[in-house]
Parts: sequence; C-alpha cells; structure tokens
Amino acid sequence: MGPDLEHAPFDVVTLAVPVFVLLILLEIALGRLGRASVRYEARDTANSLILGLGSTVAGVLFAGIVGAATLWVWRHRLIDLPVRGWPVVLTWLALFLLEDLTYYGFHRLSHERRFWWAAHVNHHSSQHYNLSTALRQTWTGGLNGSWLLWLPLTFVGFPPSMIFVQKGVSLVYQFWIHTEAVGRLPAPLEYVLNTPSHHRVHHARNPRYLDRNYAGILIVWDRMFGTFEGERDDEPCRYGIVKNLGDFNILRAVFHEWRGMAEDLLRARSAAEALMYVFGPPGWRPDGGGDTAKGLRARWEARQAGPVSSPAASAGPVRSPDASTEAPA
Amino acid sequence: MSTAFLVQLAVSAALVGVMVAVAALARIPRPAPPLDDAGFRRMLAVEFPEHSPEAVWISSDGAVGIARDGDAALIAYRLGDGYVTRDMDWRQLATAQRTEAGVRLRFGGAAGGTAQVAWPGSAPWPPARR
Repeated sequence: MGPDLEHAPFDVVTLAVPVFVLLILLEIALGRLGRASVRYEARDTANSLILGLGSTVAGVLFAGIVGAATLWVWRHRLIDLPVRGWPVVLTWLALFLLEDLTYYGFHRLSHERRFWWAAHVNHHSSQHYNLSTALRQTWTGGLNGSWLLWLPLTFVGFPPSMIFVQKGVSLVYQFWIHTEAVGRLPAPLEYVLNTPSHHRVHHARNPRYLDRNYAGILIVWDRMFGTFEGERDDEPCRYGIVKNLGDFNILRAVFHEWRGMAEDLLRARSAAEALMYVFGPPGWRPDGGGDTAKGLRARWEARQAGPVSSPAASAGPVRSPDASTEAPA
Repeated sequence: MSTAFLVQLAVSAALVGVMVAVAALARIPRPAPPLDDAGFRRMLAVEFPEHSPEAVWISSDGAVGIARDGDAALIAYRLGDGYVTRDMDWRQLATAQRTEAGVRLRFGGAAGGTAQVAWPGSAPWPPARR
C-alpha cells in the first residue's frame, strides 16, 4: 500500500505551534533583558495573536470547499509524478520551487489588487514588527479565492498531501523572519533566502519600501521580477500601512478594507470605476489623487530629485493650547 | 468542528492569554515620549511631506499634535506606544465636540480612530493664530 496522496499525515503548522510560543517568549525575554532590539505593546500583541487564533477557525470553515475543489482537480490531473523511491526527491524539489513561486504570485496579488489586499491587510496593520506579527493572519482569505492559485500544482500532478505539507513548511519558515532581533545573515544567504532583513522591508510603509520583497522562502523571485529592495541602514523601516488603523478594535483590523471597498462601491459613478475600486491597486481614486504604492513612490522620488528642504520640518511658531503663550521653538 | 480541534483551540486561546500577559509584564514598548515642537514637526515632515504647516499646537498632555496648512488640519495622536496621523478639513476640526477633558476628534473612514485632545477650557477652539 502506497502513501495516501490525498491526505497529509500531519499539519506542519499545528506541529510548530509550541515552537511559535516558545520563540515569542524568548524574543520577549531578549527584549526585556536588553539583549536584542525587541518591542512589544500588549494590545498590539493581543490583536496579532487573536487574529492568528481566529484565522485557524476561518481556515476550518473554508477547508471543506478548498479540499473538495483540490480533490476534484487531483482526480483530473495531467500526469502522475513520481512519489516513491528516490525520484520522489525530484518531485519534492520541483514542488518546493513551484510552490514558492506560486506564493510569490499570490503575495504580489495580495498587495497590488485591492480585492486580495482587503484580506491580507490585517497582516500588515500592526505598527510593530515582532514574532507575534507573524501570526497576524487573515480571517477572510478564503473569501477571495486566492487558494485557487495553488490548484494548477494539483492539476499538473503534485499530490494534495505534498502541497499541503509544503505550504505548511513555507508558513513555518516565514514565522521566524518577523523579527528585529536578527540583523543581517551572511551575504550568500541574504542573496538567496527571504530573511528578517528582507521581510522588514516588506512590512515597512516608507515609500521606498512599499510593495517590495514578496518572497516566501526564496528572495530570488523578487530579484528576478524586479520587486527586490534591500534594507538600508540610513532608512529605518516604519511599520504598518499607509493609513494606520485608528484604534485596537479587532473587527476593524479584520474588516476595515472590505468596509472601505463597500463604501467606495456605493459612491462609484460607473461600472469602470466600480471595477477599479475592487480590482485596482489599493488606494486608487478616480481623480488620480489616491495613495497607491506606485503613486506614493513616484511622489517620493520626485521630492528626492527636487530641493532637499522639508516644509513641515522648517521652523515656525509652535503654540501651546493657551494661544497667548508661545512655546519655545 | 471536531472535539480535537476545539480542544486545540481552547489550549491556543489559553496560550494567547499567557503570551499577552508576558508581553504586558515585560514592559518593552517603543519609546514614544510626549510630542513636542521638534518631534511633531519631524513627524509631519515624514507623514505629510507635501504640506507646509503654518503653525502647530500641542495638547496639554503631549498626546496630540495639531498643525494647520491652509484649509487642512494635520493631526497626530497617541495610540498605544506609537502615533497615528490623520488629516481633516480645518472647518471640521473647528466643529469638534468639546468635552470636560478638552476636545474629542472623531475620524471617519474605515480606518477610524478618536483623538482625545487635552485642551484647557479657557483656550480658544479651534486653535488660533495670533
């Protein structure tokens, strides 16, 4: 009797949960002892971890349809890839590369098109970057059908059980890179792998860093497709999203972009506008004045090319609430 | 949902509680001192680089900064161990609700938020240029 190709024997992510907990506690301890640059804020941590917990429930709710679709495609696969003996190594290697490429595509879509960003944004809405941020997972990812992107792997002939395991490996790998406690790794590793340094850039809202470094495990995809940006010592990462959330309301964290999209749809004046509000880049506005990543970067580049002066930073009077008193400038 | 999943969920929820408690007890937030003139202006330069504030005001407790650039009000308010920035029409700011503690600024939109501005009852609202 051969391996069960339809059902994974274990869930890598579930097995890793104790490790997640221990590493978070270790990171906090290192921060407390002053041994690493680590910052935690209790309400932010609570939000991140509750989002992680809720995402497991959401995952179970969508598991039925995702599983059924995957099995249907598997039964209509193109070829049978080797799953026994030494050739299985080749199957795993091919799956590793193709699954990671699929993740790159999924992740890029999740940033560059609002319908998918709406589900992914909560992973980025913390102004912190620590291991708890890694668990800040979506509750609504099943809604936007992003799981369909993995079906071609099944259609080609990779067994669902192998894909499930490889997706878990990728998610577990991406946990440890959500930290400021690790600086840069040796150059060869930084060249090939997605590292804490590369992923800090991905979570930054500085115009230079927006929509960069979509990698899962291998950063080479970003280097190949022109979306790589290295972390710079002269430009520390500012974490969060372009318009940060105004409170710690967990439901706002989950649904705010969906709500914003619905509000925009109600004010759309044409079908084309409605389509752009849903499938255009996040921040798109009909008048062109929206804060899209591309627009923000273009304006930032224009400022860099122009005079160096910063209007807001220039000296001017500062006043206390009692307008009769002028505070020292 | 299976019993095993529910048990796993309950254990995970308990672990979340432990981790949040440890994070709170560790007291390792980002250093976010009360706003002052220089700090607020630096923040404005980063968050609103295309604006040229004519004047800035800081709330009594340093938790909120307000700047004016023509018809625009540029605001930063403390949230947790950081600050959130918003802009609004100056006339909208002028009509904000006054409370015993000062002024409450409610921000619309999906990102939401409320800034409680510590503002003496004797001080004019909206902040006025002399």
